[in-house]
Amino acid sequence: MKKTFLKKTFLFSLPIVLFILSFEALLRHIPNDYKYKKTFLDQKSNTIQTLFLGSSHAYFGLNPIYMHTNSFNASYFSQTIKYDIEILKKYDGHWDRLQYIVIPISYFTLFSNLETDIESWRVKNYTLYCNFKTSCTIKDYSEFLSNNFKINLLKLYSYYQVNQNTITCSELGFGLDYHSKSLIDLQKSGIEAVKRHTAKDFRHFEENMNYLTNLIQYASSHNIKILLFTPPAFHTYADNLNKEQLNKTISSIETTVKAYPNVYYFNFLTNPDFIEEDFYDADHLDDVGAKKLTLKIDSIITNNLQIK
Amino acid sequence: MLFNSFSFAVFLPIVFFLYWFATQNNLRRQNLLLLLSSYFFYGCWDYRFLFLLMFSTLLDYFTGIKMYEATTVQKKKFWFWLSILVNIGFLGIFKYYNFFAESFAESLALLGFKVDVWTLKVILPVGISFYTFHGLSYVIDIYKSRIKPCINFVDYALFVTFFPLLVAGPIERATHLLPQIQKPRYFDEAKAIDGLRQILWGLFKKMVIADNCAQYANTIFNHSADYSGSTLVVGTLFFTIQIYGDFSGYSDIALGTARLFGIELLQNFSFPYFSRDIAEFWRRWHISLSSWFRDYLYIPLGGSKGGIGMKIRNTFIIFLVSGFWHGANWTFIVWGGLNALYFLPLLISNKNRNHLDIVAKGKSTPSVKDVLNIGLTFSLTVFAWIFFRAENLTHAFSYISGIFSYSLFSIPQILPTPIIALVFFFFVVEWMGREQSYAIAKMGLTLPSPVRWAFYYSILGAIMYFGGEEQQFIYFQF
Repeated sequence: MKKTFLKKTFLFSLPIVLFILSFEALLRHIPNDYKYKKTFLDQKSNTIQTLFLGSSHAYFGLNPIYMHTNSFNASYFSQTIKYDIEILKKYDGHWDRLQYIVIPISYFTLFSNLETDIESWRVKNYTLYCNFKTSCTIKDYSEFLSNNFKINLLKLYSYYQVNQNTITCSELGFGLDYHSKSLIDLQKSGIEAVKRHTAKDFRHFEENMNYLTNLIQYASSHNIKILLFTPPAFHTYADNLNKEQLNKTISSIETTVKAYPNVYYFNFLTNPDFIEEDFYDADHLDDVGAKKLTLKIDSIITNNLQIK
Repeated sequence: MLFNSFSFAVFLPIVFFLYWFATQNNLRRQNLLLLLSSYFFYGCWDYRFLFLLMFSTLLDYFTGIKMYEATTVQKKKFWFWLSILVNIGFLGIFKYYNFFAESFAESLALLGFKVDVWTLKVILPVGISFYTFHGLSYVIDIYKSRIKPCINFVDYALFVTFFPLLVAGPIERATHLLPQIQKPRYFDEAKAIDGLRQILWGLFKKMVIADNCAQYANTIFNHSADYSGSTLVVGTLFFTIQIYGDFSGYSDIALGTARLFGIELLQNFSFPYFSRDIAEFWRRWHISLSSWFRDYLYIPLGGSKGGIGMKIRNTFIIFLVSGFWHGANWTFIVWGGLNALYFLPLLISNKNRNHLDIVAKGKSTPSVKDVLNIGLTFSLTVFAWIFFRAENLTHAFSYISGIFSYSLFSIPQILPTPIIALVFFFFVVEWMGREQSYAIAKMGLTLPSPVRWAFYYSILGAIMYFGGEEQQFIYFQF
């Protein structure tokens, strides 16, 4: 009786399992930015002199083509310092020419945690396409389980049916989606982004500071300089930030800079050089703003980090 | 671990396989396995609260034995009250302390005194209201000499913590569940298949109906000031369907899961939205809680045996306590009170037991009178849900005043056709299966396997397509 039940259950489940496995395989076959960046780093990490890490503020804010040094943008949406270290360590021994690491310290950087935040579905990109073993959750090892079925279906349709290009970054890893002349309301997006980025509590602060310290120590042991910067933001974002969270961020970074001679910090949050036309939304630069910010970073680096 | 999560989809087959294949039908091994699995299941939420659960279990286990062995009435009473006070004490501290402290401070503030009260910053242990009530019923039944204490600790602990019912019921009785735990259980293929079918229907109710309605209910309730009266009505209707899909879906999964292990749990829902009056609604909604309050509160208070005054008092007590059981908020108390007001006219006029059978039994369509009665009962219920869903009383009253405005007659700003079509399909299936224990219990059983399987695959397809992110069950917060 038990065996008949198992047999029936197996037969009933078989088409479902086969469907899910095929679905998973098709989804994984679609090219994506993570795969692209991994392939680039696999092949050329030994040529990179300046490496950009961090979240979308670096992904859309730093365009390597404006740099005088060989640069690559390995940042991505919601990428936390934990994953920045993973990238560095994965290519340990291959950073032959790496001199500078540039990382944004945004308002949320020291308080976020990809695994528990709303963007937690992105964890699977690191486990599946970058081979990081950072998660113990099954869903973080599956495209099918980590995303809504409808979204996955749309992905399949866009790639296999419409032949849409699924790579959204430039050859050097810069995000291409945030063009100038954006129609996004800077007033509204500022308030919404602040709400999204303000931490409910500071429980991830210590953990992120530890990651940052590890990253700095790694860089220090490899003779690499670290350039931390707070990215520019439109006033509707900058003016509405929670003072406690912002001050804690800035004071912690300033203390870190004093403690480590290989670390430099620049705060562009309210820099007047960035005007309305430079923003895609209230906390992201567009391609014009990215050029401006990258040139500033480049100038700091070519001047041998003189503005300490 | 949520019932609608991938972890549960892995956990359940493993426990099922070990239970039927690795224990060699040895009852002790089966019960031990289920107990350990239940602790693991609960520990996945917060292992720290496992100790509270174990303490509560041990307390009731020992007080049960002590009461039975007591040689004097005084000793029996001592152990009884010890258990009651500690159980209620834990519930009071975790669930109600902040409410009483804040209400006390607010009352003093109204009199002009400013008091800073000390509040607890603790999360509510999941399922505490449910497992506390399990323990209470056991202790009360022993005290009233209805049952003998359970000597085997594993059996008793399993009665309290059996994972399908641990976090959101049904609230079981020792008289119903313990004998099943103590009796050898053998695999029954028909029951196991029925269990899977009920799980499937429960997942559909939760992931397709409740979670999709929740999106709109949440948007409308969270920004109620921005919407027209007609949209607010739509929001309330979505919440009405959400809470039913959510809680009865949970109960279906719980019952189906238990059936896979050869255990029958109490039915918790029986098509409540087809009720023809409020009394019938309360016989069909969250049945295990309603009957718990009836047996352990209403009847000991005198029930409906006394005069009108006593009937009114007891009805209000049971509904207010039932409301308060749901949460430490005045909104739940008003919700309970409102239901008492709905119920009283039926009780006083002795019409509260008019509709004991399901509507239109043996027929395909209801009579006009039934339709009108169902419509009225449903409207009253929908109105009461506003208090249940609102953040506080101010929100509830502003929501109601928003409904009763000129914009009530405008076209709703939110009217998602695909979801309305799904809900319509859902109610058609519910209507067709209303004479069964759950809607698809007997649906298509006489049809050939491929047709039946196609139906089940369609439900699975709908769950995959319409089901979004894993959403917590509403009743987990109680």
